Amino acid sequence: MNQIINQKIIKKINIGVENHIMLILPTNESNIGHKLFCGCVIEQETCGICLGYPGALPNFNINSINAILKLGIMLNSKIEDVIFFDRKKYAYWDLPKLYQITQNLYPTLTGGKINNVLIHSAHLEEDAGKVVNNEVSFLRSGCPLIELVTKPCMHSIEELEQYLKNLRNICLYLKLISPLKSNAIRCDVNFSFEYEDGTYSKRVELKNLNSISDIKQALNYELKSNLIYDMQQTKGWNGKETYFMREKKIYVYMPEYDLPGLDIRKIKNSQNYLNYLINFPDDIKFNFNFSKSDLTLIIYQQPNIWLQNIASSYNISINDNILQNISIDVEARTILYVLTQQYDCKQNINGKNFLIILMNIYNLILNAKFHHKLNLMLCISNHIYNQKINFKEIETLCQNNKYDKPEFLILIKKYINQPILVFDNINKKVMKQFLNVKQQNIPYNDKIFNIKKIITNQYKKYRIIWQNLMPNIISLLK
Amino acid sequence: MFYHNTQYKNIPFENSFISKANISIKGENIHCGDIILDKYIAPFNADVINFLIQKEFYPTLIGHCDSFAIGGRGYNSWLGNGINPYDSQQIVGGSSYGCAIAIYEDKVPFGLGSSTGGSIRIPCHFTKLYGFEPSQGAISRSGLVLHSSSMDKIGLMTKDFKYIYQIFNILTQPGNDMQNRMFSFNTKSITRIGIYNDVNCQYKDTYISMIKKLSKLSNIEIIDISSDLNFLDNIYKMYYSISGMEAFFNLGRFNGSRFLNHTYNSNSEWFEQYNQLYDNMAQNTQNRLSLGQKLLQNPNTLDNTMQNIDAFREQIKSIFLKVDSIFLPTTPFEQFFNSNTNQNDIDAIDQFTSFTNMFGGCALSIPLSTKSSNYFHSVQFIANCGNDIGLIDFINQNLNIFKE
Repeated sequence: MNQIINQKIIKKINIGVENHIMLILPTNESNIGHKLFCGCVIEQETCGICLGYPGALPNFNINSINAILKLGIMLNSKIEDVIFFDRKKYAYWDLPKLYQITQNLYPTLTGGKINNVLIHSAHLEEDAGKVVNNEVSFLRSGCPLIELVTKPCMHSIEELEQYLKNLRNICLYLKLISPLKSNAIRCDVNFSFEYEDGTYSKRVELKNLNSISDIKQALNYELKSNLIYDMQQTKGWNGKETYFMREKKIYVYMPEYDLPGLDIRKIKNSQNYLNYLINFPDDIKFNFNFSKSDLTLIIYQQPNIWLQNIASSYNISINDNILQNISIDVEARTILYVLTQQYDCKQNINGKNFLIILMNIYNLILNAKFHHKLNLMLCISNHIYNQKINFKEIETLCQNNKYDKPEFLILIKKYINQPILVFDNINKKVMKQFLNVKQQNIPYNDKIFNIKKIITNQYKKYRIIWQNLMPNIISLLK
Repeated sequence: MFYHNTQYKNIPFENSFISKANISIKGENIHCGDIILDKYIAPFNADVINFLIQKEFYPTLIGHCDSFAIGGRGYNSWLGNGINPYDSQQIVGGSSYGCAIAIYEDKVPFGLGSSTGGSIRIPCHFTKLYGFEPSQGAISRSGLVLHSSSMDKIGLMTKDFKYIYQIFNILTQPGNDMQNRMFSFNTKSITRIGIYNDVNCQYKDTYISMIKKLSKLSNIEIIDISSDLNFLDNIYKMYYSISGMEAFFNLGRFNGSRFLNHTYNSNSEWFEQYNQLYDNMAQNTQNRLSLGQKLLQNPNTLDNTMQNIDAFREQIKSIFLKVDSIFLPTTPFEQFFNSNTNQNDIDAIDQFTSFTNMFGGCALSIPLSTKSSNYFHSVQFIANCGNDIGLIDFINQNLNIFKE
């Protein structure tokens, strides 16, 4: 392959990255974790499935869904409802089946970002064997990988370095990779040059990059040498210089029928993932526009199921038509969540059931533009955290967007004017009633229920925040 | 030699069965009818073998088959062609011919076969056996050497209908196959039967007389769906393209590097030998592979085929809104001489069977006792995916009319 030096001057370099994250998928029985389609321990065992024996069928490891969901929530990506796999055919001696199980047509995650780096997609796939000294070791074959592809939105080596550090932090926090393993995240760099005359080079992929310093050196080498690239190609790095490996291949794909589509909506909507959002460390909070306390309010659950649970606990029936029309929308859901936490859901406002009014508000918020929704949410959440609120702001906001429906305004006004009940405000008479409850011979939960009942009956004018009162009630009952 | 013995010896007749040479039995040579796997010893049992051994049924024989179950006549095997035990001038049908012959010769009471487009029903037709191909996913395929992941399934062959009832119950346990784990039965009693009056078949008279017998049954409604079944004339084109594409993916792994203990020093050396090894495969298998490879070179072909299959499945859905079961002859042929190499005939041998596997439904082929001909006639009932039990129940209740 002749390498011709370019006469054009490089104006900008566009860098996109393909990361392979090798997952550890611990189970209850073992901390090390198993392969993606069999029960073998990662990098320690092989069986008929990971060796591609005749008749061995892949068996999906459900733990890998948890891993990719956690990543998807962290990156703010769109998560598919159903997981589909494809086969990618290529003939190389490290592939026991001569095809790799991957996700081509429907990657589980699309979109999202890490700091300012935009993510194109991320999907699950199995690893191939490892060639060492002209011998293939199949211990790595079948190990679970997440392939993360960014958009070509980085323009300097420093940006790339920062992105890789951020990605590693996220993966370590989510416990996707082992901190002891040095090459848990592999990186292939794609780049193209933009020249000063407005033309572009073809895309080049750099492989065999084992460390961040390798990536730096290889890219610096490419920037200095400024070669002509008139076709897409793959290049390697030998420690001193980059070398031509092959032209860009076009692969053949086919759906994987041995693994039928797996519906993950139930797992996706379970509340376990909320914990990862609440407890995230400060150094990876850059992905979100909200503060930590706001984030605790975002509930990753289907609002209809969750609302139904609330309604049934208060013996209220909700119309099915309303429930079916709820779409999944994080901002709107957050406001709803906040309101139901602060209010007694059984109360009536202007003769209307509180939950029904909530649904109306919810639909209004759904139709609002994004920044209006955000403002509304911040207004309400600020108020909850005892900060001053400019009610006129909300009013004008609502009028501009034709939010002149009476229920909405009445509710917001009432909500904001209502004083919050503090434990010190509670009368001595009421305290006596509490002590009576304490002496009764009934289960602990019933005692708490009775005390809650007394408070709601006695302080109807107040807004009751149970989160604030509960520690005092519990210490009273001890 | 159409079958060989296994490690399981001195087993009573009632507790023995024959398994096709592409279903894994630990410690046995599972050659799949091809020289490329002649030294391969399976390191594990298939799920179905484990289920049967738990109930004290042992695989005493392994039945030879067409190379990787590709072939409708039994003429695509490394171990020689299948010959009909009833008439040596005739074919036995494929690809599960070894099992069919052993059961015909009363060596075992029943057998496990595999079917991609009728590989159980066709040999059952030529040897006068009951052949049952369950719904896709009803029986775990873990341990079956697949050539088409979307269509292959394990089924039953027997002379005595009671075995279908008994063995199917044993085999429908959840196994290690994802399709099997996500499958659920959808039992519905069969009252409306769809028939094909315009059928092009060598024993059409027998088929029509069977329709008359069926119409006399109480609570049975006969509905002519000839216009809906017009697709049967061209269905094999779609069948061959999808099976070829899947074979190209599934059979690629038999490069010999891991199963024949070859050693290589580099990837290029491996690649050279890997291509040579393909030349040893049976001719029809090579043809199917190269057809698949050719089709996959154009990315639009796969998309078009998938769209066609989706459209076909919609068509089948609409048929099963009208009827509970489709009643057809098992194959278009009453007799098929082994000297017949007419390609149109060879393609048409699975004309009435292959479409069942394409929509994942279940089918039961029933041998008929007819005095009019020296040859065997058989008919089949096809039901929707999940209605296996409804189908078996219906045949069991009305078994006598097929014996008259």
